[in-house]
Amino acid sequence: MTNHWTDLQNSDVVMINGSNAAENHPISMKWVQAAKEKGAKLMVIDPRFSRSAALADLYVPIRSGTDMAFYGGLYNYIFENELWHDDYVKAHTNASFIVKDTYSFDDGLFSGYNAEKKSYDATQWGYVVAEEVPWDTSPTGAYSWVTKPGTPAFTPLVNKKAKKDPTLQDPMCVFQLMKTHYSRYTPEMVSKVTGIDQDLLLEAYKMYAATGEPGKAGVVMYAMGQTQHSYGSQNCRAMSVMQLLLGNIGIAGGGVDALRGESNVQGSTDMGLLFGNLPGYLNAPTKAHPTLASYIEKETQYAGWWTNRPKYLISMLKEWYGAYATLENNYAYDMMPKNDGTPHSHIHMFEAMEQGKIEGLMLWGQNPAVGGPNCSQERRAMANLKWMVAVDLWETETAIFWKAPGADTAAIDTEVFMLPAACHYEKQGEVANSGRWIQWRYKAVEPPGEAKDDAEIISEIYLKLKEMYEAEGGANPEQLTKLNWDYLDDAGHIDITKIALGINGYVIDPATGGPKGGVGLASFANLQADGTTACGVWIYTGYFTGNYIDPDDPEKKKTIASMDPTKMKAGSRNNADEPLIEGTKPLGLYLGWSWAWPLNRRIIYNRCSCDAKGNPYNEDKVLVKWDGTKWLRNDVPDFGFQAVAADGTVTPTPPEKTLSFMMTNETVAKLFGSGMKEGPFPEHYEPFESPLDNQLSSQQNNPAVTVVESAAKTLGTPDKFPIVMTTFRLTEHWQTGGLTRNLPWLVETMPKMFVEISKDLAEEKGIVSGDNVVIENNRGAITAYAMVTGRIKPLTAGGQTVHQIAAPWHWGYGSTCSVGGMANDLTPNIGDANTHIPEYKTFLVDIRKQEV
Amino acid sequence: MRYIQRQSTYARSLHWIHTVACLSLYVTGLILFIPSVAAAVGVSTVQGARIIHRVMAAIFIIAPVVSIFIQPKGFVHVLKGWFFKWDDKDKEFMKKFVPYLLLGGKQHMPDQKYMKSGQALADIPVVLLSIAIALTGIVLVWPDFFGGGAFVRWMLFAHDAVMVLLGIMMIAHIYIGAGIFQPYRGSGRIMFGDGKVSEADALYHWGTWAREVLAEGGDNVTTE
Amino acid sequence: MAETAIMYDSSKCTACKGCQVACKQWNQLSSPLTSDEYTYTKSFQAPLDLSPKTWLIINFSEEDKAVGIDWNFMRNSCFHCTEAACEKACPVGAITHAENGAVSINQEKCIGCRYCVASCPFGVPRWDEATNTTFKCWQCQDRTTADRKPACVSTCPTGALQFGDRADMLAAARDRVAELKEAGFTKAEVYGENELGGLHTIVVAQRGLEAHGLIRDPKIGLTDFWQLLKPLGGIAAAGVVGALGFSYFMARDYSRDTMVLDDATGQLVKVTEVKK
Repeated sequence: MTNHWTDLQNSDVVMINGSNAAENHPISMKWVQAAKEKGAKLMVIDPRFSRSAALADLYVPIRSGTDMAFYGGLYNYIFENELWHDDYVKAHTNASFIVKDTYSFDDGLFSGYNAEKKSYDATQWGYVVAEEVPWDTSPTGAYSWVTKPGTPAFTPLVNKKAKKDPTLQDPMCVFQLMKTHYSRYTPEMVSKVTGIDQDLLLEAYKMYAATGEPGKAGVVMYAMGQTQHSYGSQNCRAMSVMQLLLGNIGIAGGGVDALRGESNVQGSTDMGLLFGNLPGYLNAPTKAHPTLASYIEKETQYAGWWTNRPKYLISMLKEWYGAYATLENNYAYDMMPKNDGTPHSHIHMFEAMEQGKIEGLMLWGQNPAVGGPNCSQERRAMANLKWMVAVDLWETETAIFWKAPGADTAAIDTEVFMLPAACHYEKQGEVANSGRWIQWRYKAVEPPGEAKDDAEIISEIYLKLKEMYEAEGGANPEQLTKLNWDYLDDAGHIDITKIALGINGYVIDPATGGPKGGVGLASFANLQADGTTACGVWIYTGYFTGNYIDPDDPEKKKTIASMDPTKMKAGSRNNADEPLIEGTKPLGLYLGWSWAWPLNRRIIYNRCSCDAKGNPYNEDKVLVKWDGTKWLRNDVPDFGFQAVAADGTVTPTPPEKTLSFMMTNETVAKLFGSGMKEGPFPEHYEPFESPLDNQLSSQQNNPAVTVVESAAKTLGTPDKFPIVMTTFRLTEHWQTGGLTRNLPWLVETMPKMFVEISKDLAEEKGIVSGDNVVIENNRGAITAYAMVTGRIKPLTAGGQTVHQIAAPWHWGYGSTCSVGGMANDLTPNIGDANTHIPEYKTFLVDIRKQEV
Repeated sequence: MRYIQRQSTYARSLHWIHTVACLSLYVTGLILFIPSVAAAVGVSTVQGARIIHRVMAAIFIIAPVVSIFIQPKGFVHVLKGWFFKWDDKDKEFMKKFVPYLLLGGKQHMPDQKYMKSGQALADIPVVLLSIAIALTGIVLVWPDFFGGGAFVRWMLFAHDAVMVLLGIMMIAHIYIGAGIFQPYRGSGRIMFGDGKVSEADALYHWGTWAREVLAEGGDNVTTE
Repeated sequence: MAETAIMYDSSKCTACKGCQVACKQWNQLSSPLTSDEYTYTKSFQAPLDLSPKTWLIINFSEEDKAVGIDWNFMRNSCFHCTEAACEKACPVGAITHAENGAVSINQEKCIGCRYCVASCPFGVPRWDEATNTTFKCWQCQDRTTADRKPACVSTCPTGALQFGDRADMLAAARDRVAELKEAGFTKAEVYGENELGGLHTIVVAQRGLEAHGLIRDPKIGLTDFWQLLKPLGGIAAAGVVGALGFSYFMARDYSRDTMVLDDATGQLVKVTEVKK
């Protein structure tokens, strides 16, 4: 989330698209209801009428997978009716940037496409460069750190400043290109693609575009309904672009709010759990970065805050390898594996497993036998493993994949180890929520039996491996044996607070190699690229330091030398909602409650809540404000608002010198950007399994997606499988049901696997509620109980009737309390081009009544 | 003095059974009916009372039903007694009965058949009310089977309302039948004793019937 | 202690059933352990009905529309009536009102007669065969007397459930209904203000009482009348006893001559004459 849960109360219009917030994020509705009490409108866009829709002022049923067409139509509506937030767009986005004439778009494809490689040459979408400014690395320059002793040598970058037309009239400026691009998304066309009735579509557009008025706030809440598509990342980008046009990012009540699907999934991505990431959203090195210098030169941005990237990488390496990481050995950069340039996502991992390329699998709280895309293929792939370690609270379906329905148990030789894990009440540590708040969670009870804290399990495995490598040697033993592992207590058990301090970062005491003064750093601005600081996750710097204190309080510099989480910011529990700027209204920022990365900012990009001169767009919702001489602030500013000299002299940064979006090279937001695999503007494509041809171009699917072999073999066509299916989650169950299907209290509230079928389709197929039905496609067949309901209705799209059905994916075969068909036996293992998130949310099936 | 055998051993046994059942049903039922009593006696007594109530209710229902099969003749006899033709004497009897009862039994009452008209008029509602209390009682034992809710609520009400009416009838029945009422003294022997009635009492109460039986003679008339 | 009430605002309810589970957890009510013991309910409503082990469920009812549906939610549990039919019906005084108005069944005293089950117009109390006692929501009196909210209320994520002084809850409900009416829910109503002498569960019925399955103007007249039987029956019995006593008094010196039949003449012959 750019914003956070409690901020939803500040919205004027809440758009829930591709999310079932009420069911899957119950607490979110507390704040949506608070907004509604103040007169806000709630719009829910979903193929099926969910419990979120039940609360909506406007429900918009949509054909699954056509969100991009909806957004494109909204942009067009905004342009046609001149509803964009003009001042915001000019001040805070790249609307005025002039694009090179190598950019073009024709019939669904942008310039630079290589059909064979299914990829684009993104340089074709660059800006016209007006000025090139090399980094000033002189002792007084902004980049003097580059030449500091200890910093690895690399070629300093050159800031390429784009040519701009502040009037937005130049036909090659981003704004004009965008207008032209989306002029094809007329209401007629969008209605035809999405199946949304045109009047309803325009009503929705009118409701949401009203937030383009300066001072108004609209928020979009989204989840897997947006992301789990072969163009999921572009859907997310599309939402960002929508919010930028309407001036809804960086303001209270606005934002692009990703509702993370699991508690602490935010924390796990922050920690770099995805294959392409290192902690803190640094990219993992690939074969394009054979050396530390090449990594720095390619990964560091030439402008904005990411110019500091080397500091974060080197500090991270110092935390990982401690004293072993030195300038001489490139701070142990060479210890890091380099990706061969091919994706290693979940889908690809199981593809490799099927091809026998993977011997062992360690599962930590994961149940791919039920949760993976095309999961019967994943279960079959697991049979090629020599060993598997499943760390979980219950015996999951994956741990017993060898006795899944249809498995040839006798032929499976995989040795499975089940390690009982402690549940969250049985261990302590930090948890990051969707709003980026890092909250310390305490242990309530000891784990039962042999169950252990995950960190302890990892530590025990690591120590044993280290012992074995040291004794027996092996390939690249230093990768493991040289790791910095000073996270143990006197008894040799893991001490989570020591890990927390390592994540937070500190100045290295040259004498001990540990944290200087025993305390963490308060800000990542203090991290260095010269090996004098260590930091596991740079964006977390400050969370494990002394309690929150008013930033204007002279006491703020007081650091508390303690490892007691209750005294740390993550343990801070001050729920006062008092604005810091006199005369402004409370906004539910709760700066004293826990700590939000980065630097306790509650609403990121908050510079954009003000115009170019620093005057807030809405005086009732003030985040920051330029009073003529300095910045007043209710939130922690997301821009360099002042400079502090070595002698302590504070120089406020005037509004015209501040950066709206300091994380981009442009230092403004990108309506047009070269960072995505499928092009600079999000464009509508059909899901890989769709009942319709793409109405907007002859490019049927995302051109940048490569389909793995097992997925290509099982793709279905609408003549054989005419019904669109989507999956969803219920408030009563969680994910693959590993937790919830073993708890009778929860099972009782939703005991059986079912599929939602419209009344029309049920009549056509002779199905009534309570019947057992078979749902099938090329990937598998499952049975479920029929739930015939008005909550899902056929739509008319592309001139034909499109039937949609929907089923939860919580069921499996591994519980005594509740078992049922696995919806993911039917989902395709086709991933998005940027992230490889599977296309769980739209695929084709057929359905029939089960013969008794 | 001659004595007439008015009730058979069988009839008296049935009556004894029903007497015990009825009285225990009343005692146990009233424990539930009067909250202060239930509160005073405590849960285990109430539970015991409820079990006894059900057992007795079963006896109360089963005994007469079984008797119909064992002694169909007796049943027919009773039925005949109820559905007689009303003659002038019967009408006169009914006219005189209330003042007779209230004013000390001083009126001269006309001769009656085996079943007095008043007896029949009292018995028929008692039987009907008994059937009603039995049926409503059955519902209350298995409320869920009967769908619960408003129907059971009505049955509950009906059971108790019938109980009150039956109670009133019972008090009167005992007053008269057991011979507490002075003119009926000695009647207790008919149902609770050996089933015989003296010639004099028979002639007084059921003049027409007594004359018929005495004239017939046979085993039913004995001399003591 | 002031009267307290739970307020259920159906317009804020997301039907997450958190209250349902919290109720079972706090009151330690078990759920079946094996798959076979569960049945498919054909609805999001599960379990379908209250039971001795389920004292609160969320009811779901769908009203079809051209686009989507109206999905009406209702918290189905005890209303804690002031004029509580269950309390009136209980023959053993096992059902009582607490000072704050909450109605509870004392399991120690309950005899399992199910009179309360039959009498409750809302069908709330449920009889348990195993223990032969009847169960229902007791507004978590162990919590409320310790200054905590009932389990269902404390778990509600959206504020659809509130607990406090009944007067405050009513005021909040009235305000909410006014807001809802302004927002276009013209049938919105408050439930529980005067029903059965005032309920201790106040409901904001977003789309009107009927849509949420609430009984308009519930009556417990039969239960009242039934209770009236007790004094009436007593009076009637006393009247009869009185009348018969009078009869006994009037006949206190009754006697009659012993008359036998002269078989020959058919006339009655006096055998003995009583002294007058």
